Amino acid sequence: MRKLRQRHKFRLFLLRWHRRVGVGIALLVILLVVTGIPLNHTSGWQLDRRAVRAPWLLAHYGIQVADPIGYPVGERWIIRAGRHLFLDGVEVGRCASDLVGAVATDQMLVAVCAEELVLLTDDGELIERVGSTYGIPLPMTGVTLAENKLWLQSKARWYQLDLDSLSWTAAGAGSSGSLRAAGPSTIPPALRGAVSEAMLGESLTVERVLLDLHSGRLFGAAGVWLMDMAGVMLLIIAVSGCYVWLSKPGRFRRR
Amino acid sequence: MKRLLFAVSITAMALTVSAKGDYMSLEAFLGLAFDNAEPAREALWFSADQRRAIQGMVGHEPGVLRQRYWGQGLRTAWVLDEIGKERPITIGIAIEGNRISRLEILSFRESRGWEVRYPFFTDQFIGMGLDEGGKLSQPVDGITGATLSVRAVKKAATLALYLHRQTPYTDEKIAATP
Repeated sequence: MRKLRQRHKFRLFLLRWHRRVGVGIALLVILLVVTGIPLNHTSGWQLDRRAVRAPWLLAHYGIQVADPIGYPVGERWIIRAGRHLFLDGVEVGRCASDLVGAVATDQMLVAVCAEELVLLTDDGELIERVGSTYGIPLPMTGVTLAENKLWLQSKARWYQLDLDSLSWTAAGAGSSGSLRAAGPSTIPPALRGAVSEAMLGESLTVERVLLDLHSGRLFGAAGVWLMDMAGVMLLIIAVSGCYVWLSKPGRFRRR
Repeated sequence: MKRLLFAVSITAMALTVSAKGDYMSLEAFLGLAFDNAEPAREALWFSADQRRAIQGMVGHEPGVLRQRYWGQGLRTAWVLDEIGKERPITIGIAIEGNRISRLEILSFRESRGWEVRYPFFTDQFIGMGLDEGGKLSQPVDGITGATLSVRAVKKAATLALYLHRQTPYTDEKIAATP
């Protein structure tokens, strides 16, 4: 009889704490569910491609934008930020090495990265990339247009490049003296803002934020411990719930 | 034992480092592809139909509007970049009479899968064409641990064979021969 009373008291104790712990971790369970379900559908919902642009969240992650470098081509701008190449404010491709110049020929826009040429249409479509495979003089350090001809500078020498046949000839001492490569210019604030926004957007994805929320990492080490505790509490709830349910008097009595 | 482990690690590192790099220059490849003759430099501008066909064959559009190539007689040579896992592999492919006459890895930038540059692998492609379904006419033996690089080379070979047929250097009579 005494044993039965002790078991009953223990059952009531568990029941009481089952409720208390349940209420205590309710918010954390909601957080786990709300973040966990989308994480199970990351690819389908394209969360790994969706960008987070909230300034406070980006600041929380310590994300800063690389300082963009730009060259005007007519009324347009070719800009490099990070490894990304932009025509005005729209990303058009990659520029893995430094952007050292840009010009507009009659047929196309030419962005000159130190290790490759990126040829674009006026609409920003990539015509082709011309890099070390084609044996052009590298690294390139400048570009200019003179008498409708494209001149590339590499290691203090100038080369006239024919983009159709992809051939180049070194400039003689007479002609190279008059060639000057234009340096980067100050990018208009609106364009700089557009590029910065595009760059910021790529730095942090919804998936990353959800993962860090789910694990508690978004709130630092304390958040991780909190989520660990929530996990342990859930375990306690599961075990105590099973015990309370199984130990209910008359649970297995035949009717 | 420690010395042995150290020596093995250093050798492994050296092998890994040496695995990445430029294996053949464009000039050397073209010399081999055209028997040291001077080919014409050409460019193929992709039409919308060709872009769709390429998407169907290799799983992605070309990414550029035009592709450079070299041609002479019934031969063309193509230098194509195809991503293995993360970085592009530069592959030189020579086609003659709608069949591959030479395939060389010009540059390899990945840390794994560099075995695709060896002749025991590249020589398998010689003589291959495209079947009616637009796939390589013969199976290619893979390399354990280099699955993605093998896949990239197969895609480039398929693409080069298709592109060759889009040029004036193609020979439909030979293509029609079983």
